[in-house]
This record gives sequence, C-alpha cells and structure tokens, in this order.
Amino acid sequence: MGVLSVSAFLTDAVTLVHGPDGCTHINTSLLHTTLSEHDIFRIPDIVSSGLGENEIIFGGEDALHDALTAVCSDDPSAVIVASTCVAETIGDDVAGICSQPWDCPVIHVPSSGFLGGTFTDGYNSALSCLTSLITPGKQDLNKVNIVGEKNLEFEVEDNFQEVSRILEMLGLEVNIRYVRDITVSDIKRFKDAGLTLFREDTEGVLGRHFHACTGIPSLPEFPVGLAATLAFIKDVGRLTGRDSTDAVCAEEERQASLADEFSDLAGEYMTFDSFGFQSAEMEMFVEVAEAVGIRVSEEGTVIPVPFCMPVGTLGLQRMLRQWRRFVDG
Amino acid sequence: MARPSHNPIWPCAMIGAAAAMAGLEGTGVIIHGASACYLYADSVIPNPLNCTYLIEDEVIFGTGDRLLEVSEALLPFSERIVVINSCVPATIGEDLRAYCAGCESLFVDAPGYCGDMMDGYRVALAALSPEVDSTRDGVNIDGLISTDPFAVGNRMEAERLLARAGIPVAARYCNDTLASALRPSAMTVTALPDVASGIGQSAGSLLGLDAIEKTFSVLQDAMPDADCAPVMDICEETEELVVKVCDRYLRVNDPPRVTLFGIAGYLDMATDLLTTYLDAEICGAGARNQPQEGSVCTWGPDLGTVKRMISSGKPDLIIGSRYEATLAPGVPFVQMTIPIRKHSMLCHRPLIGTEGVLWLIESVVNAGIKGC
Repeated sequence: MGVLSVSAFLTDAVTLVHGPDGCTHINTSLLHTTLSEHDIFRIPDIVSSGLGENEIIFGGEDALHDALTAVCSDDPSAVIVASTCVAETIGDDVAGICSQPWDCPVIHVPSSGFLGGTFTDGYNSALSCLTSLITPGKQDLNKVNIVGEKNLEFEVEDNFQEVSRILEMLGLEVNIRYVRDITVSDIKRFKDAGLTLFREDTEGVLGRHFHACTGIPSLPEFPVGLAATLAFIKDVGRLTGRDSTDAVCAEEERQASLADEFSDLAGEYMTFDSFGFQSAEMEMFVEVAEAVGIRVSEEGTVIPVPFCMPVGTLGLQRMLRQWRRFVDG
Repeated sequence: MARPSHNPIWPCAMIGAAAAMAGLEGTGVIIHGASACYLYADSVIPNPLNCTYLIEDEVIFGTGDRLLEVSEALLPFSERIVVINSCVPATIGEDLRAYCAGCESLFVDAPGYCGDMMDGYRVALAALSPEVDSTRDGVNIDGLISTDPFAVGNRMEAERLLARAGIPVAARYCNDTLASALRPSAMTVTALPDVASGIGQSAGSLLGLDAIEKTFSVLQDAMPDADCAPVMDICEETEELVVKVCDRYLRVNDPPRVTLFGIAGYLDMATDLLTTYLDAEICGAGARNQPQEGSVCTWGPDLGTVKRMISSGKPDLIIGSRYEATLAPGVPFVQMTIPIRKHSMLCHRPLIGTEGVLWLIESVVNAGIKGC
C-alpha cells in the first residue's frame, strides 16, 4: 500500500501488482475509499498479474512477463511494478523480469507486502525508485520541489497550500509535486529546481538518496510549530540565496494574531493524550499552548494528539479551533 | 492460468471464508496472515475477527508460536477456534494443529490465490461440514453472506415469509449460532444461490416472484402442516403493485436501457424483473462472481471489463456499486453491491422475497427522478 500511495498519483503510469487478484483488490478498494473521503472520485489504474494456485506451485514469473507485455502494449508512460507477500515467498525474480528490455520504462519497486516492511518503507522505496525517471536540468533558485506529500492524508491539499503560501512570501514557486497528480514527463523536470522540500523525512532516508541523485539542497520536513515555521522560512531563504527578513516579520505578525483570535482560551487547562501510539511532539503543543495562554495540566480538558501534525501557522490555527471545540464541547 | 486484470474488484477466498465463519456466533475466527489482509476483511465483514499479524520473522522461523498466542487469548471467549489460512502460511504449509491452545480447532485453507469470495465461503462451509439432524423441525435458510449489504434484510425477509406459511426456521447460513449451524434440518431455502451451502435438500430460492412461488409449492408438498397460501397471496399482491407502478412509469418514460453489475444471482433476478415489467433493454450484466450455468451474466470481476461494458452499452440506468457510479457520474444509479461509499445503508433492506422485488422496482423507477 505504501508503494501504491505514491505510484497511483503518477497519472499517466500504470501500477502492476505481482500477486493474486485479491491483493490488488484490497489496495484498489482502500485507495478508492480514501480518495472518496477526500471527495476525489477517481480510481487509479492498477493491474494485477492474477497469480493463481498453478503459479504459486510452478512459479509466477511467466505470469508477470505476460502481464507486463499486456500492460506495455497499451503504451503507458511508465509501469511501476510492486510485488506481494506470496510472490516474494515463492521467490519470483521480479527485478530480473522488470530489467528486461520493454517498450516503456518499467520500474521495479521492492515492496513484497508484509515481507517488505511497513507502509513507510514501501512509500520511501517508491519515491526513491522513481528518481530513475529524472533527467538533467538547469537549477533555478526560484523553483522548489515538494517531495513525498502524504497522498492519503486528509489535509494534503491544505498543507500544500500553506507551504506554497510561505514560498510565495519569499518569491518562490513550486516546480513539481513529486508525486502528487503529476506525469512522467513532469518528473523529468525535477532538476530544474534549486531546493527540495520533503513532507516528512526526519531520518534522512529520502534526503540522502535525493541528494546523491540530484545534488539539490533540501529541507527534511514541512514546518510544525511556531518557532519551527519561522526557522523554516529562514532556512528556505538561506538555501535559495534570498533575504527572508520581511517574510519572517510578516509571519511573526500572523502568529501573534493567533493569540488574539484565541484569547478566549487563555487561562483554560488542557492535557494532551497520544492514546499510546501517536507521535506526539509534546514540545510543540506546549509551545502553542503557552503562546495562547493555555495552561497544560493533567486535570485539564483532554486534547487528542492529531494523527498528522499541523503544518505551518495555518495548521496551528485549525488545530486551535479544534481545541476550542473540545473545550466548548 | 493467470490472466492480468485491471483493478480487480471482487474480494478473495480468504474474505469469503472469514465471512462465513465469523457469521456463526461462538466461533473465534483468526485470520492467519498479515495486517493488510485483516484490515480489509475487518472493513467488509461486520462480525468480530482476529489476526495473527504475521511479519517477516514468523515467515522465516515459523508462524506456530504466534498462532498459539492469539488462540490462547481467544479461547476463553470461543466455543471453537477457526483458523483462516491466508496466502503465505498456506504456501509455506506448516502443520499448525498443535498451536491452537489445545482445543479442537477448525482449519480453513482459503488462500486468496485459490479463488474468489464465493469460493472461500463454500470452502469454509465444507470444512465446517454440518450433519443434518432429521429430528429438527423447520427449514434452513442459506445464502446469507455478511459481506452482502442485503444479507440481514434477506434473512429477515426469508423468516417473514416462512412465518407466514407457519414454517419454523432451523439453521441460518451464515447468520446463526455455531451450535445451530452444526445441526441443520433436512430442508433448505436459499436466499442467494451464488453462496448456496449444499446443506439439506434444497427447496429452491427466494429470488424473484416466480422463484418464491415455486419454492413455497415445494415446501407445501414436503410439509403438509404448512400453509403456504398466504405467501402466494403476498406474491400476487406484490405483482399487482409492480405492474401498476411500472405501467405508470412507462406511460411517460421510454423503457430503460440498463447495465447491471453485482452478484450473478441478483443480476439474473433483476434482469428478469426489469425485462418483464419495465420492458427494459439490458445492455449488459457483469457478474463479480463466476455466473452459474443458465445465467444471463458475463463474468466481469475487474474495472477494465466494467468500463468496457458501460462504454459499449451506453445505459441510461446503472445498477451496481460505487465503482460504477464513479465511472459514470451522470447516469442514474441504483446501489446493489459493495462497495458502498459516500452513502450509508442503515436499514436492513432485502433483495429477496416480495419486499426485495418491491425495493428493486421502487429504486429503479425513482432513480432518474429529480426534485420532489
């Protein structure tokens, strides 16, 4: 699913899942459900190699070869091949089949269902493998790539708008959204940018790979928190060779206005609950609480930690509105 | 032979097997497989499910200990542990009988690569292998698969019609207690023939008016104490209502051009109703499952086929799932199979029995109406 959360958003490519039909159905269904929840009524083009019992016993490489032949005959811009648990268990040489000469780019993304790691591993793997489509370009310091947006995140467009707003304050424009509703030819323009922004790559897995492939400097994550948003603006300015002083001042004013907008929350008591599994960056919550005059105490209103952290100042504004609903509710 | 398919849209055998067994109260169903298999199953099966959440280590070093752990946790709440084997454990082929917390468990080998949801459902019932109890009164109801959004409504409708005939209900497959399911009576009526259990002597199905009348005639002959006349009266009244509303529709509308998608049994029933009472032109009937002999359907378990059928048929009414609604957003639409997205279906509608006939006709004639 991690692979498909990337490849399904490469609009002129086809994803081929090497496994039984049921596995592809599960992923098609989950993608359709999630996109419907986002009011996106589109069904990504995903093909199954249709492994049956015969292939499980005698090997599925011929089935993969046949499926690739059929898919390539429709002349897609690229085919992304992901394998499943059972294909990995029987030991099909998926990489070998994909590396044969085909009429269009065929990119094998190591995945292998639960034998290939977690959702994040598949997602990182897909983003990394698709860099093979990048062609030489001329770096333009006015352009920025956005890499690894969480396509299944409900706030994905909101977060993009917030980062775009910050970039516009610095006179920057987005080059490509890698990979969010783009084409294979869009990926070829990757090196036209002077900076790469990762949605969330705090461990640097993607950063190291992309730097080696493109040489473009990068920042590891979208900004989360008040100070982090200001630091983000400064870092973007520094890496693109421009003065960020005015942009930082404007953002500080915007952040200061949050305290006015949410002055009714000043003096309220709150506590944050991660439900034992959310990645709770408590420092950020305390920072925002203090900025608005909220007191953090175990006896306070329980605020659930959001599954995805709020991006930029706009994200904090939406988060504070939610806190208000909890207090009022 | 494997064949590539574009966006397969019908669940695999593992889902059918899990749906069958989880529908029997008293079972502790364990999906022996990965989290993704479980999460999907959990999204389409309304009954409780459990999972071993296999990871790579267990595939290399053996899955038994993990199964034992889950079985022990589940045993206090279960009359019988049921293990549904998914693709990878079925492929590596361990003997897992020693890992079920010392109880007599039921193993259902239903890897996804062995067939679709209907196949898995039948495999599970075959593994359960209930024996007919000739001393038990009543008639069994089968063909109730919980992934079908009409299953509960179908059960209630079958019970209603049997009650009108004074016939008690015996076992219900698969919406019953485990104890009841293990001792069926000798005769069975079928809600959905695509998942008929084969348990007991079949009296027929309840899909469509003709089938209902035939089935209750068989029941009347087999059960002298029953009084099936009230059911025949209901069928007659239903047909009168259908004729009246369809005639009214056809006085101001052309007969609809309909393309249908869903479970083959339902499509056959709908096709018969729509052609008989609405003079409908059937542009295509794409069955998610393999149609039985004599069906009007073609097998279309993937979106590639669905797209072609909609494109070539140019229907002015589509009966199907949200997939079809997504592909043809401007065409009037009736929801008759999963997935159901953006809409909620809370009441227990039947597609069988006389109420099923009425609901389908009502939905079709109302589908194109805009405004009050």
